[in-house]
Amino acid sequence: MCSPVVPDSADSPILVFLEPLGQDIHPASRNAINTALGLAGDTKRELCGVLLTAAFGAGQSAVLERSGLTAVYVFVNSLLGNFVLEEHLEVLLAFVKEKKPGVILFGATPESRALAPALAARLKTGVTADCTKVAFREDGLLLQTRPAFGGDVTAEIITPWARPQIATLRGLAPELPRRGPAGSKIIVNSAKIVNPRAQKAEWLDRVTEAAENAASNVLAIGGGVRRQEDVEIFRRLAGRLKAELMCSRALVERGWFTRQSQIGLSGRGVRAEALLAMGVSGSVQFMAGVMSGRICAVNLDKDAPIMLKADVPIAGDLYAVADALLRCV
Amino acid sequence: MKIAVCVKQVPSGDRPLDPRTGALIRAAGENVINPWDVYAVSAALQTARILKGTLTAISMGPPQAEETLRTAAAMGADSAVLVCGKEFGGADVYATAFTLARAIEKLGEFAIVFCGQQSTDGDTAQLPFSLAVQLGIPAVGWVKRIEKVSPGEMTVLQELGSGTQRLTFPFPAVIAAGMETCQPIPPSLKGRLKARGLAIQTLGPADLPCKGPYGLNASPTRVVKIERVHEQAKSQPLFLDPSAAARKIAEEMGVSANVLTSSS
Ligand SMILES: Cc1cc2nc3c(=O)[nH]c(=O)nc-3n(C[C@H](O)[C@H](O)[C@H](O)COP(=O)(O)OP(=O)(O)OC[C@H]3O[C@@H](n4cnc5c(N)ncnc54)[C@H](O)[C@@H]3O)c2cc1C
Repeated sequence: MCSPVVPDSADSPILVFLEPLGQDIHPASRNAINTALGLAGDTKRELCGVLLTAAFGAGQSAVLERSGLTAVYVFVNSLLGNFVLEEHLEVLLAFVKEKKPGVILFGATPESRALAPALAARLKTGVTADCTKVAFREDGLLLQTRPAFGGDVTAEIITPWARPQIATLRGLAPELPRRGPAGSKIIVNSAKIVNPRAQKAEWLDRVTEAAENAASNVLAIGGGVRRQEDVEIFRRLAGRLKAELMCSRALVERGWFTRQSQIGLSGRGVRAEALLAMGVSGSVQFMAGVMSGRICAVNLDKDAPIMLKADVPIAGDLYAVADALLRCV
Repeated sequence: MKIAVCVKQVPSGDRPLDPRTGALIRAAGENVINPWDVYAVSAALQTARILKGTLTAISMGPPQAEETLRTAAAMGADSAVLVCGKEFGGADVYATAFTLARAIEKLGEFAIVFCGQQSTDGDTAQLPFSLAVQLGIPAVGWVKRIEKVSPGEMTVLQELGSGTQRLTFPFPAVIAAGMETCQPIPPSLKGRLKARGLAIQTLGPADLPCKGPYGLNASPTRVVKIERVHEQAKSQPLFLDPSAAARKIAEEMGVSANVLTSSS
C-alpha cells in the first residue's frame, strides 16, 4: 500500500467539499473556501468545489459564482436531501476518482467528519481532523496543524505518500468575501446513486435557515447556571440588554433549550456586536460559533478558556453580576 | 446474534498533560476506559439483551488495556479480546481501523459493531467511519438515541449539523454512540467478580488474516511536531465588585446604566 491510489502532482487540483444550508452554503464550507484560496495562492493548482444536494437553487448558485473557486461541481439527487453516509460517499468517491485532487478540504460539521474518514478509507489515505491551519511546505506536502489533548498542544501532521491529502477544518466564516464578478463555473449534474437505499431516513428538526444570528447583542449562558428556574432571570436580563438569549451545549443537554439556541460547532454561529457569556467555559466547540464581535465573560474561574479570549474578562459570580445588572439597566 | 463493542484505554482526566512539563501522563493506574465507550458498551448491552445476543468487547492496545476490557466485562460483556502486538503501535486512525477490521473479521460475523463516537485523547471522531468502510458495512454515526431495536433492524436518532435525523437501517452496521445515547450501565458486583476471572483472548499480528503492514507502517499520516500551546490572554481578568462589573458590561453592550444603583 505504499503507492498512492490517486496520483498527485504539483498542479493537481485542490477540492473543497461544500455543504448546502438552506439557500446558502454552510459557514464551515465558507471557511474551507477561504482556507483553500489562501492555499492555492501562487501555485498552479486548480481550485474547485463539490456540492451534493437534493435541489440546487439560484441562491446557492449566486453565492458560489462569486466564491473565487474556478469551478463548482454540483451533484443533484433527491436522495441527497437526507444524510445517508454510503450515498454521499458513492457520489463523492466517483467524482474524486475522476477529478484526482491532490488535496481535499472539508468543514468540520458532523456530516463532513463522517464523510472524510469514510472517503479516506476507500482511497487508503489519511485525514487530519479539525485542523486550525493548513499550509504547503517547501517540499509541496500539506502541513496540517490541529489542536490535541483538549487544546493543550498542537500537532503538525503530514500525509507523506498517500493521496489525496485530506483535512477537515475547524472554524466557521461569517461570509464569503465577494471576489469580483461572477467568475466561478457552476457545473450541475444529476448524481448517480446505483445501490438502492436500505435505510429509511427522515429529519425531525432541520436547520435550513442560514444558521447565523446577527442580533446586535447576544447573552449566552452555560453550565454555570444552576437551576432551570434561573433561566427566567437571564431571559429578563436579555430583554434589558436588548440581547437575544442563547446558550452553550451544556444547557441543551439538560433539556432547558433547543438546539436553535445553542452557539457553536453543532449549533449556530453568532455574529453579534457584543456577546456576554455568563457561566460558559469557552470550549473550542462553543468558540467555533463565535464569529465576530466583542466578548464580555463572567466566570468564577479566572483561568477558564473563555477568559483568555474575552475582551472584557470579569472574574466573578454570574448571579451577583446578573443581579447588579438587573438593578442598573 | 453476535454483537461487538470496540473500547479504548485513555489517560484519565480532561488534561492528560502535566501542566508544568507538558509531558503526557501515562503512569500506572491513571488510565481509564474512554468515557464515550462507556455509552457504547451500555448501548451494546441493551441491544444484546433485546436481541438475545452475546457481546464481545474488543480493544487494540498495550497489555494494560486488559483493564479496560475488564471494565467492559464488569458492565456485562460476555467475552473480551485484546488486539496486541508492537507491530500495531504508532497507528493513526486508518491503521487502527485496519487492524480492528482484520481482528473483527477473524472473530466471525457480527451483526452490529458499536463504538464510542470519539475518544478523549485522539479526539478525531473518525475511527467508527473508517472501520465501517474497512469492514465493508454501513456506518451510522453521531447517534444520540436508540429508538427501536428489532431482530433485523434498528432505529436511531442522529445529531447532525443540519438537524436531527431519524434513521432505520438493517444489520450489519457500525454504530457510533454519543454520550446521550443511553444511561450508562454501572458495573455490578457480580459483573466485577466475573470480570476478574474472565480469560481474555489475545490476538497478535500472526493471528490476523492479513500479513500487514500494521501500525506506523500502515499509517498514511505522520505527526512531525508536537508543540505546547501558550495562549496569551487577550485582556487581564478584571476583579470588580458586581455593580462595577454591571456598569462595565452595560457600557460594552451599548445600553445605558442607571448610576443611582451603583454602590461606588
Ligand atoms: C462534537 C462536539 C460538538 C460540540 N458542539 C458544541 C457546541 O456547538 N456548542 C457548545 O457549547 N458545546 C459543544 N460541545 C460541548 C463542549 O465540548 C462543552 O462540553 C460545552 O461547551 C460546555 O458548556 P459550558 O461551558 O456551558 O459548561 P461547563 O463546561 O459546565 O462550564 C461552566 C462554566 O461556568 C463557570 N461557572 C460555574 N458556576 C459559576 C458561577 N456561579 N458564576 C460564574 N461562572 C460560573 C465554570 O467556571 C465553567 O467555566 C461539543 C462537543 C463535541 C464533542
